[in-house]
Amino acid sequence: MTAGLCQPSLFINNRTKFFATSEHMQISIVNLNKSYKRHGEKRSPVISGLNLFIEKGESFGFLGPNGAGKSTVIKILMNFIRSDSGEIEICGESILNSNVRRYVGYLPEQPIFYDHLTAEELLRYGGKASGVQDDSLEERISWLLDRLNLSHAKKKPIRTYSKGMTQRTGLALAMVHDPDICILDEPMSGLDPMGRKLVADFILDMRTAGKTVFFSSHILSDVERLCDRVGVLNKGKLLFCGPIDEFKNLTGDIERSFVSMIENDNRGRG
Amino acid sequence: MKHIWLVSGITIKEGIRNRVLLGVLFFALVMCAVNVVVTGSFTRDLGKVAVDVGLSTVSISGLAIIFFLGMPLLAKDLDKLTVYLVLSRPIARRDYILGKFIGLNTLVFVSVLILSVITAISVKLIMGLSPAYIPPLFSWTVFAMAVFFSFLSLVVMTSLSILYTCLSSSTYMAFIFTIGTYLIGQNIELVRTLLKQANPEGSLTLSLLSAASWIFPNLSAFDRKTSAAYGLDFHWSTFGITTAYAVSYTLLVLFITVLVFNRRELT
Amino acid sequence: MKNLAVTFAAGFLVLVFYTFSYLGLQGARHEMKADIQASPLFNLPEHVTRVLALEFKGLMADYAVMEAGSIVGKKEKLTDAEWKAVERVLGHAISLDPYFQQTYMLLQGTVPWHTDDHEMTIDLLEKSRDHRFWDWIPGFFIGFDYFYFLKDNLKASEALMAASSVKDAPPALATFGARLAQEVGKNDTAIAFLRMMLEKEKDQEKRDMLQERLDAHLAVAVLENGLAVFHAKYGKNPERLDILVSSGVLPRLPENPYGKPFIYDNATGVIKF
Repeated sequence: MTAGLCQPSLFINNRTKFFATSEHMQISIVNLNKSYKRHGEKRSPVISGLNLFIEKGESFGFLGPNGAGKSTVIKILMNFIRSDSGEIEICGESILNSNVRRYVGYLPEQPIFYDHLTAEELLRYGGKASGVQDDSLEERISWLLDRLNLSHAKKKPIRTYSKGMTQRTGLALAMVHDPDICILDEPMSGLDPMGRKLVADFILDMRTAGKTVFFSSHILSDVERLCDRVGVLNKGKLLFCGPIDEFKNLTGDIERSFVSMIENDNRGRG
Repeated sequence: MKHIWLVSGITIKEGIRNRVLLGVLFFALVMCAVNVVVTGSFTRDLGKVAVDVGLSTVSISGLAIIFFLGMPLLAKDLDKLTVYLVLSRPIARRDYILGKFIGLNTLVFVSVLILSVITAISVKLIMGLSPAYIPPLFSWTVFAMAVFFSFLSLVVMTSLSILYTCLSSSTYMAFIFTIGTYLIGQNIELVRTLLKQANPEGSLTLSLLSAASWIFPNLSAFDRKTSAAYGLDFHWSTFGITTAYAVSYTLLVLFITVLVFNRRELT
Repeated sequence: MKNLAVTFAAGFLVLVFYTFSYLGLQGARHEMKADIQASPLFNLPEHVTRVLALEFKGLMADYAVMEAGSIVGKKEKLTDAEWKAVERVLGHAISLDPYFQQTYMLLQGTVPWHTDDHEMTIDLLEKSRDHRFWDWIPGFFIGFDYFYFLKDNLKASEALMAASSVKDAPPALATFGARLAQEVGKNDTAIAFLRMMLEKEKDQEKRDMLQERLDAHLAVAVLENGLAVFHAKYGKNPERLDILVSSGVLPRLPENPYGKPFIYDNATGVIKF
């Protein structure tokens, strides 16, 4: 099931400042700043001075309280919104180039689709748009729908789906072109325990298959289970970035580490 | 190019299964029956009345599709962010706009086609029932040209509706702007003419209107219902220049829309 | 059980209330209906309705004609105000679609026979005529209105002769127009006009009619010439036309192609055929 392999060595990357070769670096965010301007005056920045590097094959959890800016970072990564400054690359190519999304599978926080399409039609469109060959596409769609327990509904319009089915459809759409990188925005939010298990299993599968997974969450127990590294964002600033064990060992408990880090930062800001 | 077809494909699929389209077609069929009844109340130029009702139905249905089908679909894309469906793929923002444009216009085209055929049948029927009362110069060529021009008018309105949806933060405002542009576009030529008659030496209002006529589409140029009703002369040169105007205006609007949409934040 | 009874009672009371108010409203509306009024839309100036009609001017014109027709058809005798309403609505109809035949047919068939607004009628007819270049009827109606209601034979003949040049116009227009021209002393015009029509007319039956009329006008021209010579010689008009022959002014009297004697008024010197 190969379609659209990311070959970073094909792209020449001048930016050797931080890391040796671009082959390792799937996602590279350098000095990202973003603030929302209202009526000409700047509000307090949403993201300030973010540097983040995700390696190929790693599973990275992006943590932070509500409103920290996690979704904003992801939307900037997907070029849905523009950064004020900073250089962002995926597989060594600027995210401003739409071609980059050939290697990316994206799951939004609240997946909404065109109501009257069926899951099958949606996946067919997604696969074709991302460059999957016709002959392998149908096979891939069947496999995905089966795997995600959607085969029984594949010819029904999406507006008849339950929330869980919609979420699974979103996952299928993100994976239909077998991307090397998965960017998931709060993938577990609003799901029941069955749904959360499904997504968690999926992330683990990705890990095993050597894909890069970048997802944001505020459910710490999931993050603990699924990630190699974590990053902690609070009010637009990256407070921590490192292996999950290192983070946990700060206080011996992941939740305590998180809460104290955030509280300290909030106090520091006064 | 492939991406544009993909986007227009899902737009068409989504639109066709929408009940609004069925409603519009049903309305059109009803109007054709109404046509026969209405024409019966007249004793002269029956052909012209039939054409009036028929072509008006085509225009209204096309507008209904833009306002009740096209714009809500676009609005949903930008409000509920179903646009992520497209932009999370390796599809350029320009391709999204062009794909939407072609998809929406295909929906409009199909309904114009169906409606104009039904209208033509009802007109033929009415003319067959009372051949003595058909305007002597009536011509199906001119009728077809009038239908084509109605379609061009709708294409212009579609492109504007996409532009306004991309420009406004509120879909309500986009609606108001689109309706407003339609009303202005239908009348700008008439108002200019009336003002010129009142003030032959010119006035500030007239200059402002002249400037505005560069910006707003002159939709009355596409209104050839009277020509179709009576079979009046329709020179090919007029046909050519009006079509060129529609095409160039639409291209300009699309160009601006792509520029605007490239800069729009989708959140 | 009690709940059900209460519900039914309430429902019944509401129904009764509704029935009474419905009947009451019907009665009130009935009184209002007696006064025929045009839709307030047509109280607006004509260019405003054109603006409001957007791209549906033809349709609105149809509606206006329908409305005018329904006002006219409502009762036997309309008041002055009601006729004014009819004129106003028809004015809108012509402004919205000056090509529509039913508008001018309705106009001519009703307004000039019940009102004195002939200039206005002729104004509207002229708009129709200017647009319906294929149709001789509006011009004919204009000529008729001038002739019959305004007794302006000169304008009538101009209108009729203009109308007769429309393709497929009946030759009677030309002949009638010419006759009217002759009756105001413009016999030369009549002759020239008929000669021109003869040149253009291919149909033999129509040519015969035109020729006959031309011969009549030519005969009158001869007689008028004779009268002028007689008047110059003797300072007055002859008592009878045959005196022109007996006095030596004319060799003989020209024939009236219609077989009837010429009608001569020796007081004014006017000759009719």
